[in-house]
Amino acid sequence: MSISIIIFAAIILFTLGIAFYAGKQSNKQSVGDYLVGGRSFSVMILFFLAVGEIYGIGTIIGFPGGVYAGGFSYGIWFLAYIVLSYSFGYFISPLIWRAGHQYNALTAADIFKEHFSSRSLELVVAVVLLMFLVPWAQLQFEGLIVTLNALGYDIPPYIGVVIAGAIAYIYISVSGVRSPALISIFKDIILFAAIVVVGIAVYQKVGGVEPLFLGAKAKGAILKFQNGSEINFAISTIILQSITFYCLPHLITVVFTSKSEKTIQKAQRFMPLYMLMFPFLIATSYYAMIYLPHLSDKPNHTFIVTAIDLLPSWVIGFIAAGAALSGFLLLSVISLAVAGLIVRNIIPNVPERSQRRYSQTSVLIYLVISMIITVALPSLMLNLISTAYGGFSQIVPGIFAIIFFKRATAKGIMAGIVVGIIVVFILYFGKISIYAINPGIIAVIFNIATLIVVSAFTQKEVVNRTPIAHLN
Amino acid sequence: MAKGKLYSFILSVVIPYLGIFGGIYFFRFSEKMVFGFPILYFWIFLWFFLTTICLSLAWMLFDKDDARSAKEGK
Repeated sequence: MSISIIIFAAIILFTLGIAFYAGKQSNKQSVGDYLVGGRSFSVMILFFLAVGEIYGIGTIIGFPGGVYAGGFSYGIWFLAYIVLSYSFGYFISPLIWRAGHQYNALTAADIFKEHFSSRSLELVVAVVLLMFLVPWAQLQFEGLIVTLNALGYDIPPYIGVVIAGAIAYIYISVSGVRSPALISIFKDIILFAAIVVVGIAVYQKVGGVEPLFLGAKAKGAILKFQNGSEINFAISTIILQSITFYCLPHLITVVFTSKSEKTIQKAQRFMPLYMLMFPFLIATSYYAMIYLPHLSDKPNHTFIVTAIDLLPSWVIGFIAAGAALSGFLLLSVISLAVAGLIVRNIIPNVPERSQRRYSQTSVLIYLVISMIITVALPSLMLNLISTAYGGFSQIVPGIFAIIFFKRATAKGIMAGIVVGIIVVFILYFGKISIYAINPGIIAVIFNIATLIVVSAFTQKEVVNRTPIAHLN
Repeated sequence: MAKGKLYSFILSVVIPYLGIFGGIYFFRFSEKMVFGFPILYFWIFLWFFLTTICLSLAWMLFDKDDARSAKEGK
């Protein structure tokens, strides 16, 4: 395994070099440069930064493991929601960019603050986003521990966590979002190649595509939906997640880095093609069902263990580096989104010229807290992760209101968010299932109804902001 | 919504959603295989290409030369 570790380490060191190179290009004073790259990114950088954010370590580790453990319907809704996220994103993300540009926003909560001139709405949005953003870092840490363990190093979790946190911190401390953007290009090429190589190795070993799926079927895999509940859950989840996707706080940050609306649309066109890795990635799930039945107690190891089963050590080094880089990159962009929310929206009145310094400190504090939680209380955050999409989606009606509806008021949106979050928690923790529909969708319906009713009763406060879609 | 915007929305959003959900509806219990893949997997893989085509068409026909791009000076 030693060759794999050397290659792994060399690749990580190389990315640190890229980070310092990116640092030379950046404007050292500006918080806008730090958080959103001065809104200057071109089509190519934007493409790689966005796909880099989308395919965190959760995809590489989580998707094959999810199909292995959750079966066919998991695979279908996961693939469908991502491809439809691009489709819906082509429509919505230029409008989100326009709102950011209009209000000089650097975070999702900035848009709410400026559109309604409402401090309390800004706080509600920022707190909700932080509550669900924090556990996402933990996912990245855990993915990294899986990767390192699979490399044959049974290091204690805290060492893996400290390494990951330190690297993510170095990435962004020198140049904010610019270095993750550049490193994304490098990482995506490695990762795409790695997944294709593993997939081809699987198909070669089993003798083609059909033998793979028939072989898995012979071992008990089911290759269709089993009942109506699975379909209801799949469809409602696809709708909820594809519409929420570009409203996720760290994706909004990525959208803001774009040079213009047109740049986003141009980059967006080709993102579905990046998904061509999935026919290769999914092969590892079904391979594991046939040959690696012992993984059922740790399905997250599916991809890496399949790779180790089939490929020489030096290839594993590349694969593990690609997976780890995905984790570091997502971690660093989430940290930036968190820092932006804390410095610009939670702490009152930080002067613009001090914000970059404050952000730097917030990133550090955030990473350290996440590390401690990951190591000390590994299960505490699990519930928040499971409800994260449901939680984030409660911001969506407000964003749509800012873009399209003149009559929405700050109080209406705030009430909608609060009601939506309460409904998410009731349905989730009460284990209440309504025709197996994703609880997030049901909560969004309550949210919108509340938004409309409360807005109707608080029309006096309307400041007559023009909806973003009507700006020209 | 201007006509161009509406057509762009239909191409880039309505058609891919209908395509994916239509596939899920029609093939939900099917065990057919296409090129060795379970048919519904294959159908979604196909939409990786079709979505890119839809978005590119929306871009070329309606979004590339709209009023806003003229304003951006490109």
